[in-house]
Amino acid sequence: MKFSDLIRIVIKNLKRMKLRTALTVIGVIVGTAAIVTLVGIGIGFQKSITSQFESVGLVKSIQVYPQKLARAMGPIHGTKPTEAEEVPLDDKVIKEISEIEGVEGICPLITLTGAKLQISNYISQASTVGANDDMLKQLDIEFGEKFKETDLRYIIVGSDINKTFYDINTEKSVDEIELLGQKGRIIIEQYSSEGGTSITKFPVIVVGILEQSYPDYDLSIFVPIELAERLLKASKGKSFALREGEYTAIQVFSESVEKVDSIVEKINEMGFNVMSMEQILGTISTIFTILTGVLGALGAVALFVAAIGIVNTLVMSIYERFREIGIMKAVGASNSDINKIFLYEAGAIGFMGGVFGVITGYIFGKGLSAIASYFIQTSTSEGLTTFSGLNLFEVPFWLFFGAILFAILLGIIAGVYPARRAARLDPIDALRHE
Amino acid sequence: MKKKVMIINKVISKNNLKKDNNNYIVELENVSEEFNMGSSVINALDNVSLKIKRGEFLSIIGTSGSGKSTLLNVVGGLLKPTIGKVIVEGIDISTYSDNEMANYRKNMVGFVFQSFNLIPTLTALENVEYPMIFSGISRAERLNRSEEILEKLGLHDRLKHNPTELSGGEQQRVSIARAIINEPEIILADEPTGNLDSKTGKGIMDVLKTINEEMGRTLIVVTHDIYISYYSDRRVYLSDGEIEKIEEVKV
Repeated sequence: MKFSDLIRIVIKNLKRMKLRTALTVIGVIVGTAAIVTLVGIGIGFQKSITSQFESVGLVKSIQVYPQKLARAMGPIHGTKPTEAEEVPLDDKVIKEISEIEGVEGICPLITLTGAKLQISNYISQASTVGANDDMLKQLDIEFGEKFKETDLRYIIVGSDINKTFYDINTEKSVDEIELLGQKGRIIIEQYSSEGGTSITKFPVIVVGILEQSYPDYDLSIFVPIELAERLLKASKGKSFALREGEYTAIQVFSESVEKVDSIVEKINEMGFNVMSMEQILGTISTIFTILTGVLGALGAVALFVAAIGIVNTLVMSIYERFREIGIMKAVGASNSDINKIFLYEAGAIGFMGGVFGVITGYIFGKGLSAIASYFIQTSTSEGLTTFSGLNLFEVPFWLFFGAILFAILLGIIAGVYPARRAARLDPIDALRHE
Repeated sequence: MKKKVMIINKVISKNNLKKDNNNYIVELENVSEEFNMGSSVINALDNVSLKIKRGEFLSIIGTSGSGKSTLLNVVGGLLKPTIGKVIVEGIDISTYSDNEMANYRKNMVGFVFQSFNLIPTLTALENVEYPMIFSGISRAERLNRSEEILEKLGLHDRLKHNPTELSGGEQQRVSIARAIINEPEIILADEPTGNLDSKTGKGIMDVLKTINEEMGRTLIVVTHDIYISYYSDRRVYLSDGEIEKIEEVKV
């Protein structure tokens, strides 16, 4: 039998049972679409999140914690619990780490969440981060300029800070206010155990606004490191009971992504715990890969059910074509000819379902992504503009063709049993059949 | 009718050369065919030996259940004998594999059935074309050949009709066209007139007879109708799976 004739026969047979073919194909479409949509969403999420990190160079940053803190926070990647004496994070350690090969900069990590920034009648409660010159080097200014770490009155703000203010009188949030060059103050409210409240105010001037990078930075206020230390002292915020001159954490900036690993290793050897964005990113990637796999498996279940539908359709059509199969055999069709016809019918159902399923899944995924990013945009009053226009759905080439091939393959596998059965029909029985 | 078939002869009979080295095209040697019906065994054929000459028109006569259709199916390669040999052109086809059997049916035999057995979803033309698909002949040639044969059989205006749109006689002529399209040596007809009125049946027998005479094809017709056997050269009486007698038909 020629291939072209085989195809013609298959098409004719499928056309003959239009409704049943259509219903069976719809089953495959649902399965394939489920795979494409779910896996596409998994991949889209993974990509958009990793690209967020990568775009701002965060993968080059490493965070260093003392052992004690690490234990308090639970296991951190790369931790080797030792009973060795606690090494505090202090200026001596900072100096040591800054001498490690590949280290570009280093900055103690001081973040305050209780400080308020007041500018005229507006207040923002965004978190305040201490920055030294090394850290400032990592930041990109869009408007204005950076401060020197010694300019204790100057601050710079993240790109979205202007959306975080509320009116002091009405307590209603206000739309984007002008910040650059504005004078204001940072307020620390300290509640004493006797019930009184002491308020400390630090006058500041906004000298720069950062480029948009990632949500954490976009919504932070950067102040000179020494000012941050003073704010911390005012708020009695030495949360982990550190001694004078010790830090809860240190942020290290690597020259390049490639050097992160060797730096991490050296700091580990010094007896500290390390968390690098690269490691976190690796963990996130792994989680998403697993998640994508699970989603894909869910879709595969739907496709498996569709495959059972194919088996059912073909077995039914054997009964309908019982006599015809007998005629085919009488006029000289071999078992393998008949086997092929049924296998190709199954494969064709898989193919059609695969193609339309990929298209359906693509449209569906795009739709979901559009709806999701719309909701993210409108529901975040703080304006996470980084998420706007976010593509939460992506179908790479391998998924596109892989899904179609998978559907065809599953179709053919589903066709094996009916095809064998049809091929092995006794022609005399089949011819006698009414 | 005669004239018409003579033209067919010219057109399609390419390997009409008789192979004289063996006078018999089919030899059945002690063929038995047993069927299991529940716990009992039924002997559809019981130790049948029969030699069929090349180019002969043989009729097999018997009541229903006499084993005549089984005999036809054994010769046609649809059924393997339980015991015995079926030698066609010097080769015992009872030893053939499924694939070899399919090839044998494709090239050596053509079937004509009582109930026509046309594929209802295909047109007359496509039904005739069908066996050639499995021979790997190109579509253009298939359609040409099918059209030619159908025209010779007087169905030139029925090419695009489905079987349900054809009369019984027309359907049977389509089925004869299908049986001879691959130019088989042996044509097997199982009650070919059984579903037709006597006048139409006579027309069909005329067509079969001319194919036998003009093209030199060996023709085996199974029937319960003694009248049909008058077209044949020899008649074989079959009863309870055994050959009762064989006689020459005197014209």
